[in-house]
Amino acid sequence: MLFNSIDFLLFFLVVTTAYFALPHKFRWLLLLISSCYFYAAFVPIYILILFVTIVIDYYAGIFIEKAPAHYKKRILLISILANVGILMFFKYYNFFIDNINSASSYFGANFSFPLLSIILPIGLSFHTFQAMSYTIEVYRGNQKAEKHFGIYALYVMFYPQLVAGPIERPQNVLHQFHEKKRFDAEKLWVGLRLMLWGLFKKVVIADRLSLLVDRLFENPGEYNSPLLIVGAVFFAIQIYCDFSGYSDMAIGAAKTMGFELMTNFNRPYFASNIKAFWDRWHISLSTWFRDYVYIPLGGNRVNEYRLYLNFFIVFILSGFWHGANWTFIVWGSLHAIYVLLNMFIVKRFDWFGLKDNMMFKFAGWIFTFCLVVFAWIFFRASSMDNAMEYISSLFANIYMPLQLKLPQVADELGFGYMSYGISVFSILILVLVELKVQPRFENNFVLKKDVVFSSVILLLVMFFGVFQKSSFIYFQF
Amino acid sequence: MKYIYRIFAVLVIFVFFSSMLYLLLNNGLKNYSFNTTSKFYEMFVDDEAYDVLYLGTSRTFQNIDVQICDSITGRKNYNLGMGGAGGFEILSVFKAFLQVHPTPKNVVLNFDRNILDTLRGFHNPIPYFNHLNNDEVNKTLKEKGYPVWFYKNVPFTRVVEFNDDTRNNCIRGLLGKKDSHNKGYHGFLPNYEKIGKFDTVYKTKTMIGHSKGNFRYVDSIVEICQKQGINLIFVVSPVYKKHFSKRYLDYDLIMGKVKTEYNQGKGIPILFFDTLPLNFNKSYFADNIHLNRIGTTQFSIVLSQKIMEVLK
Repeated sequence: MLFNSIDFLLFFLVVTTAYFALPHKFRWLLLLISSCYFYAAFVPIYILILFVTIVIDYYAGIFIEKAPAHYKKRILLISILANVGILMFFKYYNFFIDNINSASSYFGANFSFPLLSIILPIGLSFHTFQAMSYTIEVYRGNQKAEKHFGIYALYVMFYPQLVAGPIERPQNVLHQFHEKKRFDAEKLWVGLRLMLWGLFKKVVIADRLSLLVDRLFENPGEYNSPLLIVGAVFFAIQIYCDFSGYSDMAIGAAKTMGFELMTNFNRPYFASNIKAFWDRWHISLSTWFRDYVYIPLGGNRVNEYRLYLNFFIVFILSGFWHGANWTFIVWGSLHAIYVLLNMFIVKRFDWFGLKDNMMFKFAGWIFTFCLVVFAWIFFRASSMDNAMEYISSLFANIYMPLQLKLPQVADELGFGYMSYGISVFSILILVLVELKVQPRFENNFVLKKDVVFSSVILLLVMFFGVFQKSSFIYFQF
Repeated sequence: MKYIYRIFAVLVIFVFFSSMLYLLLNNGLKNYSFNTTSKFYEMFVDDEAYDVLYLGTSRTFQNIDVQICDSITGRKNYNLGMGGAGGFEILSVFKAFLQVHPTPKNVVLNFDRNILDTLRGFHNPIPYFNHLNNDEVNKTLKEKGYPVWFYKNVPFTRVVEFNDDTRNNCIRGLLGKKDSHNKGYHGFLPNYEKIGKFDTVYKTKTMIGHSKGNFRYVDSIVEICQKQGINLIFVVSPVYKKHFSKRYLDYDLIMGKVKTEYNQGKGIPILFFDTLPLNFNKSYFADNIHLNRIGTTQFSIVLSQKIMEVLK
């Protein structure tokens, strides 16, 4: 069930109303059943996989807490292996087999392992990581094992963040399911406003930009350089609006019932260096890797070269987490290189003494944005060949006739002047809101003119939205 | 309570401005697409009686000049062809038309590949939303998954079906501009210019589909005509240099099936116009499958003369 559908609107209204109508002791059950329904609306059978991981991690948590110290680690390992095993099988099996088969044929060996025709369960990487954070935190003693099976299942399955995060930590969420939530009109208002803003980002910006971006990435060789540059920039904005739009809707939907989920984005494209970008982009995943990979690898308490290696490992894993394709590994590696260069410059030259200079900051922002956009080409491309074709056309097709303004291209791409106009207009609104308004409404600050703001956004969604029931990009991960 | 008032205020503002904006945009769209507006009025509001009804796609709508047909046959002809339609839409429009008009004596089905395409829904559903009081329009839109209740009772929700082209046309209409692609609706919509490329090389041939399922909309039209005592005639209209035969692997097989099952089996007359000399003269065509204004005049004359022999 997609957040940008009539089905979800009805589902949300029914669940939220029923949540406050029911006595506290039945509310977990309502949320669990509705979360099962929400998930089963995609591919029903895959709820069984979710059930298996829930059962394993629920008992792992209890056993870890009870077991003597020397057994705790073994149980944790079993739990992690089970989670990673499921993830590896469904997400990475075909990738590894395909690469082994290609390598074997390259070296002249005539064996080939069979590929499986499996569909990746929706949001598998998200709920697997969330489940793992629970057992790790119980092992570390930061979280007590949850005894109530239903509440634990709800921790993994809570419908707003089930399929695309934010990837929550047990300390932040589990206790909230035990608390009696009273109806709070302010939270309802703030939650609805956040959902509306997320919907605006998704249907007005992301889904419109995707009309052009999808066509450009299909056959990049046919288009000229300026159009391909526009396509790459549009994808950067599309993926931000798509994913942060989903996060806003998830956080907003949870907030209407009184639940607080962690912030996932903090205006990442305003970052003036790449490290700052990563402090603001997909925060729940970045902090997951920081807490469960980077720190166990030694964190900052290692020598300089080991530190660089640790960062590299984290970024490669982060890339690989997104998908079983070399394009994601290259994307992760590029960001690793960016971050390492950033660290190197800071360490050796301390920003050349210009850290607080406005012009330097502005140049840093432009440079960071360009680096991020370039890396997104790999992320969006369907294969390495596709990515290389896009990049080579971007440089090689500079002498092709300018296509951006030609009406026949508008017809051919289904993206005419009106689409460009609405795109630019809505991106300007996005920038204005992110600069002036969002810092306040994320902190629950009620704006003086919020009725006007919300009405205008709702009208823009209605009249400028692209309602093709298109899925969210991050659902595939 | 102030937050509940705020939610309520947002909803009231939203509903008010949406309704106003929709009225404005819909007027703009009606004004811009004046051809479509007139045609849909004739089809689903007007109750005029016709003797001959032409069913089909753009190859009917743009290729048959009913004013020529009227003058030659001495009957009242109506062109019910729908641009971009498939079998589902052709059948739906036919049924909806019958709801408001007296039953015609003759129906001419211009037979082409689209009528066998079972995947096509409504090519452009937006003009239909202005006619949701027609039960058949209502039913068929619902069948295709459109939230008809909302579109009928809360008209501004129809804007979710608009794409950027439609939005553009709304604004053009509000600025007083008209659809310039064609020069006006005269009971049909002629092509004055070249509208597409002429294919000369056929690298890849595809299939249309010739199973019983592909013929289900044709069978439904045949059944309605039989039940209502309408004289049904099949017509195969001109196409540049046997384009369909060259483009589709099973086109000739389909035509063979039409002859044996519908002509010989059910006694439905078929008139072939795809072998006339005009089929080989590029100056009569706007693209491979659509005639231009001159071709339409020529074809309408030949069609009217020929069809007289089988009209009731």
